[in-house]
Amino acid sequence: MIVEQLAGWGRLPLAAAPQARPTTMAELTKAWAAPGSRVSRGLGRAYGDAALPDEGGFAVSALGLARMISFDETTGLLVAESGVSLAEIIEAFLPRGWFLPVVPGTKFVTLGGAVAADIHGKNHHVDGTFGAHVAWLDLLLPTGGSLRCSEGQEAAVFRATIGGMGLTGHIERVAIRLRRVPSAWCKVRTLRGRDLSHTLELLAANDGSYRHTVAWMDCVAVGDRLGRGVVMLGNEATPAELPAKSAAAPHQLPRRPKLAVPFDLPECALGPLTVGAFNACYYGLAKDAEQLVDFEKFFFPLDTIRDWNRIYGRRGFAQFQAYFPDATAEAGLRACLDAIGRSRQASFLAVLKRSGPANDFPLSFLDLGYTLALDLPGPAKTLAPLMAELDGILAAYRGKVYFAKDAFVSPSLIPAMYPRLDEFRRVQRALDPSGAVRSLLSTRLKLHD
Amino acid sequence: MTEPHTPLHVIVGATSPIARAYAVDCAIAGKPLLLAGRDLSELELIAADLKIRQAVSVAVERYDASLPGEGRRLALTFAGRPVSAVVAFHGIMGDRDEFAAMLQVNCASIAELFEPVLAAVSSVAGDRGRQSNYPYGASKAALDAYLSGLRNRLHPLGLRVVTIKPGFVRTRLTEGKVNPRSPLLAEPAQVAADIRRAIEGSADVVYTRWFWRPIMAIIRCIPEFVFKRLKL
Repeated sequence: MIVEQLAGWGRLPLAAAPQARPTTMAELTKAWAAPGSRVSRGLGRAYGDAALPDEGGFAVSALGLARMISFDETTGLLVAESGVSLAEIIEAFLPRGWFLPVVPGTKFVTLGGAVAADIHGKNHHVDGTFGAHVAWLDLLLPTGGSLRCSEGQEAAVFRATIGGMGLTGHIERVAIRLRRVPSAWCKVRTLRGRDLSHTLELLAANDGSYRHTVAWMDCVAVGDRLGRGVVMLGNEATPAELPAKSAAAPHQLPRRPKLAVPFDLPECALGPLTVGAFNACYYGLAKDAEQLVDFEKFFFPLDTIRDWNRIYGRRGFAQFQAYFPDATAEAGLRACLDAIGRSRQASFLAVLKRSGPANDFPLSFLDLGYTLALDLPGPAKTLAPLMAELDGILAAYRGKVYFAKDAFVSPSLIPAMYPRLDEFRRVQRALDPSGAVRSLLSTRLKLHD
Repeated sequence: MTEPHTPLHVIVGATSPIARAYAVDCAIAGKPLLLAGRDLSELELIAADLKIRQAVSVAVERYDASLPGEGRRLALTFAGRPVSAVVAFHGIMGDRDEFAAMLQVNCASIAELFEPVLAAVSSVAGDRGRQSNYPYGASKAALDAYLSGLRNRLHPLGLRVVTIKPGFVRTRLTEGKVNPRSPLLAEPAQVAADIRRAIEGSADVVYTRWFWRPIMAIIRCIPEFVFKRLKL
């Protein structure tokens, strides 16, 4: 094991820690049994400290074990090792007419990470989270030894592992049900929300008739225009709805150039002025219209720019994602947007989504309501006052943070945000009595005690 | 799916990271594969993965380069089938105590393999013995000389021998020894692409990445009375 500089996608915080990179099952078993606390790590797309080892611990990379094991052409059940990325699955199966049931805003996450964070996408109100489509999984237990679990077998372990942030063990293999899609395109309708209540209303009014819904929000707009946004509503297009050129190969994604941010940009590149201008243009140029958008562009708009996190420069950034239940959503979101607007800690991207009912995984994030996600440029020191203010808003309006995004929330708020935490802890402690699996996140948020 | 008479591409030492990247390249190109190596369960995982992703035919065969005779046994398993190339990726790195084992695995085992195209992964370490890893370097130097002679003998028969000389590659062998951010450190996929180009082209000796050729040319030119004083 060699010491590496590790960080989440926001590059806040950083940690120098050893990382094992097993490439065979035998190497994985050996690496997992090494002394010290350990945490599994995938592609490092969690924004904060979820995949960073606790002080003195080490990370175990899943990336060296990334084989697809079987695929059932009739049911769509794919069994693969946890290091396989969603990008690889899409590359292999979209041309054959299959797609992942749930995708997040980037395809560069591993299967293991998708399960551990129980990720959600634009279709949460219809299809729920990623975990809802997992048939079974194999877990390398904290004490060694492998356990297969599903809803019918070791259900408590299965449910604690989905959304369990890797704390129940190392996810070795996942059986995920892929879904047939009519094409690789969405018919997307774009509407503009004048202000927060209008944007929320547009989302709520349309979630019955669209599988994929999302709103981009202008965090710089204040006063009457607070919460104005562009609402995107999508349904998958049938081949008949595509232009002749695409209809011939409806599951083929168009080719597009690969872009990258080759180095860290200076901090002034993303200041209040540039972000304000971008947001105003985005809103101003959006038309109320319907168009065909391919999956890549619709689901993963930022993936076309590799290493986009470098636009924030060396200071790094935090992502803030909050969920509010229907009853308090408007007031809670208004308070968040207001605090962020006043702080002038401009945000490039703010994404608002409608969410459907909760599932049965104790640490899973979403329930019926709305969730807002946005970037806040670092460094940590200048973010602290705003984060403290946001904590107060979350507490007042029954808000909740998403572990995969968080690096700042006060640990005292967690039990109220995650009322089933004790249930999770009982399962976790039974699997890991000596506390061998820990992350910076699990220690910081006291998920173990 | 591939035609039954499409020639077989044989990858020996197929669980190594470079071999795995190479197998992916071959599978994308639709070549039916035979993967040989010591760890049969790993080979089966790799084969299943290639079959699912690329829909090519992939067979596996146990092969242990430390045992004399394994190469001939392996050749019997595909006797009678046309073969496009045999590419040997296996190798071990150790110190003086393991020199005999290294000679067997890194050189003698390969002497049992030959086909229309035989490509074997050697190393820049074979170009000159350095105090840090000369037993390994010597086993690769033996391989280089063997392949050179074999090429000379087989050329009139129209058979090809390709010597592949990687420098630093991000694998277990370089972990902890080479700065992970070094610009000299290549990814297995880059090396695999160089190997594929070499085999599809007409090269005899290929350095990968390319810049190792001038670097090693310079290192070979250093007079011995100077070289013996260097800390390499």
